[in-house]
Amino acid sequence: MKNLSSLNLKKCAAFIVAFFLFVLGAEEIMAQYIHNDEIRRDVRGTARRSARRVERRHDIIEGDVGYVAPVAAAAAVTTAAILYSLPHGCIDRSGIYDCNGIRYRPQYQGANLVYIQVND
Amino acid sequence: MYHSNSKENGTARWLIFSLILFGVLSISWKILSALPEKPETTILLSTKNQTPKIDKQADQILKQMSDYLTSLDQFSYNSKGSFEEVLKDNKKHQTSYNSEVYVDRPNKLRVNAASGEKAASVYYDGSQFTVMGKKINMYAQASAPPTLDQALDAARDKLQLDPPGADLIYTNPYTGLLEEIIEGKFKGDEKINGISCYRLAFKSKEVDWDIWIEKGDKPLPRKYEIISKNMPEKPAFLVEFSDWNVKPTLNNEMFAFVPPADSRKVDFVQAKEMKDAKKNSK
Repeated sequence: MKNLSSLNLKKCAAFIVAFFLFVLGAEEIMAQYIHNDEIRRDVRGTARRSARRVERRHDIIEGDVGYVAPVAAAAAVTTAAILYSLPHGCIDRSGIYDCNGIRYRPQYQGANLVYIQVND
Repeated sequence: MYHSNSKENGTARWLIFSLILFGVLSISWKILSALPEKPETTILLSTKNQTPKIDKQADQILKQMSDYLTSLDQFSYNSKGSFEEVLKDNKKHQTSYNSEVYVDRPNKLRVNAASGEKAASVYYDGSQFTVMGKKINMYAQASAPPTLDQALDAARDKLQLDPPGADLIYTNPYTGLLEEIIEGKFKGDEKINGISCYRLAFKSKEVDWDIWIEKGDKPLPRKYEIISKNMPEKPAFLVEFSDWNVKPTLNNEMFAFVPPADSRKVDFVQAKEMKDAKKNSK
């Protein structure tokens, strides 16, 4: 009986350790979902008149800065569907800019001119 | 023996059970705390039910400024300011700008803005908006509502366009500014660019804002600062007003856009296009 109970305790201890590892692991996995942009944006959603300006600026920036040329010019050329300024060497083909084969159309977002990738 | 064994088993079961309970609770707590806050309508209702605590003096000074601005048929001012943007790495990035604003009530607005190397003019003539980029020589146009108040709302909501200090150029700034306010205080006297002002501080759930209003018979806003509290980085928007002219010489040509020679017409980005473009970038 003594053997049995110590076996039980060992099982129990192993179970406890496994359980804590599971909780830790679950948190790691969940963190990916918790800290993504989508959730941050939802938490922020407001529409106060005095707040709107600041809010929106954040929306634009949080959504876009990753693809904005001044921040990541080199990366932007190949991956961005929105550019805030054109990289060097783009060719103007009757209103559409050809940047190394990727074509961008200039459009206004508010008072800012942005370049949106043209998809055929 | 049998008795003690069952007792040990029982203890172990309880231990395991309580651990599982603890784990389940802690995980569900994390899930719950990560969920978005209550929908906006609920917030609006709950804030409306609260009685805002506003100093009588703060309320009076703000009302005086608002009434004074409402009484003006035409005015112009310069604004100089900066806004902070939170980048993806959570660092704040500050952008400065300058602008001249011309208002002709009830339905005309012109803004000439410059930030860094960029310069743009915004026109509202009572029927359409135009944005003209001066250096790039490109412009976009969209139809606009018939009054300035409606136009300001539409410009912001549909075109993501808003002139600096737009909160203050509505017909009745007092009402708009006090939406959502839970606290307002008179903070004493301060000088802004040599002009004696009253400083007022207001708080709402999402933002804190301070306003500096000129003393005397022309209670004009001289400085306006908004801090967003809904982001941990608390980015700020700051604007200083100068060169107020409450009897400017304005003419219709200032508000009517005529495309310059060789300028190119482009479109405003639609919300859906922006969304698609963002999706494609990821």
